[in-house]
Amino acid sequence: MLVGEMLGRWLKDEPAQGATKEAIESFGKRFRGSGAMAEVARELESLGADDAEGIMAVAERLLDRSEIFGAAMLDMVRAAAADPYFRPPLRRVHSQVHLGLLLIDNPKLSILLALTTPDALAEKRRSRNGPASITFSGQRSIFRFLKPGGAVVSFWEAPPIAEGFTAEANARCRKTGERRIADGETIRVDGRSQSFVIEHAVSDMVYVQAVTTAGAAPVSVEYDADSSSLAGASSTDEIGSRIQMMVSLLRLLDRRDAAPVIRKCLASPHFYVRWHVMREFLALDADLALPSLREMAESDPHPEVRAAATQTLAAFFSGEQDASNREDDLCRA
Amino acid sequence: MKKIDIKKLPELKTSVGIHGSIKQKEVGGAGCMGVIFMIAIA
Repeated sequence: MLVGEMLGRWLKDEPAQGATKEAIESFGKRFRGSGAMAEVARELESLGADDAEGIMAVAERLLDRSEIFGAAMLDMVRAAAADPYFRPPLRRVHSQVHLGLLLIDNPKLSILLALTTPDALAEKRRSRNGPASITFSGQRSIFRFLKPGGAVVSFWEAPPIAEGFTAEANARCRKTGERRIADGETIRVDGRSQSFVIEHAVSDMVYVQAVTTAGAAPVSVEYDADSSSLAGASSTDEIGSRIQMMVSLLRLLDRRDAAPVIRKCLASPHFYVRWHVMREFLALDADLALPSLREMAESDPHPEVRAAATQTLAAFFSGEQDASNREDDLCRA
Repeated sequence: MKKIDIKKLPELKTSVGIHGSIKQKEVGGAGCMGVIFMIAIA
């Protein structure tokens, strides 16, 4: 590693390193202990994890006090000017088109202060070599454009994404309008049925984005930007995806003793998790899975799960009896 | 004990990818501007 003269001095200077650490911690205490941030923390604490409306109301009240974000930035710039090794104690979040700091990193609410440059947007478009998507995140978010950078945004709508989501019912999205964003404008996006695309910008965009996973749709959905037709869907539930992966591993490891746990996973609120788990269960031990498969065919709330279960019963179990009492013989390790 | 080859079992008509996965690149909307997917993969 090549170490510059200045960094070399700092690395040998323990008091200087201590001062940097002190500056970082001091900023963190000032920022998180400030009236507005402490208020947000208290309000979030009092709300239920699934109270999406309440959580977004807290976010909107904070976004209305946009002077807080300018003051925080100024504080960080001053600290960095005084000590080049100062780093804000905030999580850095970035993509090809944006760079941001996570001001609030709470399980119920994330608030990001971010910058998007027109060059980054143009580069993303230039470097793309395949089809592009308009994404419906499935989550509620609020954007406050502190500096809109002359951005022109198109707005899109799709059938609401709900637990009964099917590719057939949500086949297409449609454009509902296009306009320039005003200084200080707030855009509320219910990602279950709304999305937007930055068509172009003439200068840097600075914005604050609040997002909650509370009340999220079961999937996020991509529509092809050219045809507006469905391109794909992805889970919005990280736990559900982990369950899918772990149940697949249990099947690959032939862990029949895990049958009681796998059966519990069939109660997932998400249709795609339930069918994934059932397929693995059938591949692990079809006799043990049979009673749950029958229930699924009879009463699963999702039509495609019922249809797949019914098709499986007809193909593999016509005329068979349940073998659920065999589970008593299993090892519970 | 009966096992069924998982490849022979039907899939749902509506396929759903795992959390944070994408089929195509986004054109420049809410997803690529912020925390939506980034939180998951940071």
